[in-house]
Amino acid sequence: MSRRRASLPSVALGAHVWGFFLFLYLPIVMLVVYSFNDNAVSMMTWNGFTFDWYLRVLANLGLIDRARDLAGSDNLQLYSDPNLGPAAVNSLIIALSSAGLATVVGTMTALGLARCRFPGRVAYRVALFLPIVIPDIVLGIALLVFLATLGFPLGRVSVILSHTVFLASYVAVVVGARLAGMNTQLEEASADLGAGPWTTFRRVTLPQLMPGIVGGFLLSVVISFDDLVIAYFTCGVGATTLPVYLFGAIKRNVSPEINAVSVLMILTSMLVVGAALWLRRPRQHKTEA
Amino acid sequence: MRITRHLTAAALLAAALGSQAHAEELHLYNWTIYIDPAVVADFQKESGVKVTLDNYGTNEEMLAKIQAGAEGYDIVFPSVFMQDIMTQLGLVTSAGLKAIKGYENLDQKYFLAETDKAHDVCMPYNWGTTGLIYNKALTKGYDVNSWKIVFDPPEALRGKIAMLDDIRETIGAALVYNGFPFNSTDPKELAKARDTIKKAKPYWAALLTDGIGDKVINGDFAVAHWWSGSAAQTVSSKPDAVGYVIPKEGANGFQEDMCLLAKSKNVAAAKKFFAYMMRPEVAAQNANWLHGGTPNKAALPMIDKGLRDDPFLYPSDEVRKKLSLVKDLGDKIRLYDAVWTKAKAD
Repeated sequence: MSRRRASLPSVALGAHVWGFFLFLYLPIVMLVVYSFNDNAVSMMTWNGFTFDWYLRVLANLGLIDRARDLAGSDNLQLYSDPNLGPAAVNSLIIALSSAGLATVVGTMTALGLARCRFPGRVAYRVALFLPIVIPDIVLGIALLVFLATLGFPLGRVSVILSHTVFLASYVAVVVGARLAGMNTQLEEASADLGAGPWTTFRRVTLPQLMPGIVGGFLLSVVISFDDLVIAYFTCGVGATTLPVYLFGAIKRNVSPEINAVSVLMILTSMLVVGAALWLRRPRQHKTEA
Repeated sequence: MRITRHLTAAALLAAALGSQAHAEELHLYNWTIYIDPAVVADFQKESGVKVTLDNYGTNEEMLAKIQAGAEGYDIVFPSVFMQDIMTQLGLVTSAGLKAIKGYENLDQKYFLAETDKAHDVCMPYNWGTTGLIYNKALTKGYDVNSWKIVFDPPEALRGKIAMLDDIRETIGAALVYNGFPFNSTDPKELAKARDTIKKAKPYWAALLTDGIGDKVINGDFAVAHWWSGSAAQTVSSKPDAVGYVIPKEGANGFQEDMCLLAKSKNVAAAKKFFAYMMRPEVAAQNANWLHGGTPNKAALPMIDKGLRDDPFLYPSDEVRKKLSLVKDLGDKIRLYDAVWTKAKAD
C-alpha cells in the first residue's frame, strides 16, 4: 500500500482512539505515579519520589522487616495496619482455590454439553450464562441467604464455593468455545486406531483443550481476586478479602499505601491476563486442515 | 512415600483436633481501621485467645450481613442507634457488663442507647462529633465557629465548602443551624432545612465522604463538614494549617459501642475481651491511636495531652449538652429521604 495524505476521517479516528485510551488509562497512570509520591499527608500534592509505600506494603505482608523511618511513620493510625497482609493472603487463597475448582467443574460441563445428548441440553446451556449475566449484588445476596438457610458456616470456604458457582460458567464458556472449534475427526481417528475413551480423552482431547482450560483458569483467578460484591456477602470469620478491606479502608482515611497496593494488584492481574493471552495465542505451525 | 503421607495426615488431624479442644477463639467484626492492632495483639498474647478481625464500612452493611444470618462473629461495633435496632431485632445480647471488673471505669455521662440505660448491654467504645475542619489561611478573619459559614458563606469562601454526602448529617446540620432539634421529624422544620440546603448548595464544591483531609490541607476546600476522629488525625499532622471546631449552635455526636452478638459461641472469651478493653491503660492506648474520645473516665489522665486539652475533642459539659445523637427514626426516615432527594436534585 502506498502512503497517502492523512484524510479527515482517519485523523478523527486516530484522535478518537487516542482519546479513548487516555480516558481508559489516565486514571491508572495517575495511580501509578502517585504511588511513588513522598507526601504522607496530601496524596495528590507531589513532594518527591519514594519507594516507601511499597516497602510498607511488603512489611505489612510480612515479607520484609518493618523499617522505622519510612515516610509517614509519625502517623501510626494510617500507616501500620497489619490487617492488610492477611487480607491479601485470603484473596490469593480464595482466587487460586475457586479458580481451580471452577476449572474442573467448568471443563466437565463444557465437555458434557458438547459431546453428550440429553433432554434439557439447550435449557442447560442457556442457564449456564445466568451467573455471568445476573448482577453481582443479586447473586451475592442470594448466595448469602442460601448459605445461611443451610447453616453453612461463613468463612473462606463459603467464598471459595460461591466464587466457584459463577466462575464455572466463565470456564465453561471459554472451554466450550475452544471445543466448538476443535476437529472431532481426530477423536474418531483415535477411536478407530483402538484407543479407549479414556486414552482418547487424555491423549487427544485434553491436550487440544489445554489452552482453553488454562485460559479459563487464569481468567477465573483474576475475576475472583478482583471481586468485591460477592465476596463481601459471603465472607465470614477470618476471610476478609483485599477488595473488601480496601473498600472499607477508603471510607476511613486514605493512605498512599493503598495506591501501592492497587498498583501491585494491577500488575498481578496484568501478568495473569498476559499469561492467559500468551497461552491462547494461535500456534503458527498448526494450520487449519 | 506412603508412610510419610499417612504420618502427615495424622499430624494434621491431631493438630486440627488439638486446636479445637484447647485454644479459645474470638471473632471481632469491626469498622475498617477502627482498633489499634497493638491492642489486639497484646490481648492475644496475654489471654491466649486467638483473635480474628474482619471489617465493614457502614452500620447498614454490617446489619445486612448479621441479619441475613452470617454466623461466627462474637463482637460487633455498631453506632448507638444501630445498637438499638440490633437489640430490638434480637441480634445483640447483653454482655452483663455490670458484673465485669472495670465497669466502674465507664463514664455514665456518655451517650446511652434507648435500650441500654446503664451501659450494661454494650460497652461504649469510642465517641466523637461531626463538626467543621477548616483551612486556617483561607478562613482567616472569618468566624468558622458557626454553621453559618457553610450555609451562608461569605463571598470569598463560596465554591470552597464541602459537606458530607450523608443524609442524616447534612440535614441534621441544617436543622441545627435553623435552631431545630437534630432529629426533628416535624415536616415544617424539615422544609425549612431543605430550603437552607437548596440555597447553600450553589456555594458548595462537593458532597462527599472521603479524601476530605487532603483537600482542606491543600486549599481545595476552605471549610469541610467532617468527623472529629479523622479531622483530629489530619490536624495533628498539620496543626499550623488546619483546625477543627464544633459549631456553636450544636452538632451531631456519634458513638460506637462494643456489643456481644446473640449467636456468639465464644461468650467466655468475649467477656475476657470486654474486661480487657475496660482497663484504663488499654482504653487510653486505643483512644490515642484512634484520635477519638474515650468513654473510660479512668483512662483520661493517660490520653495524649494534645487531644485531651482540645476543647473540640474533649468538649466541656456545656458544649456536650448541645450534642445530639442520630436516632433511629423508623418510618419517619422517609421525610428525610424526600428532603434529601429534593435538595440533591435541584
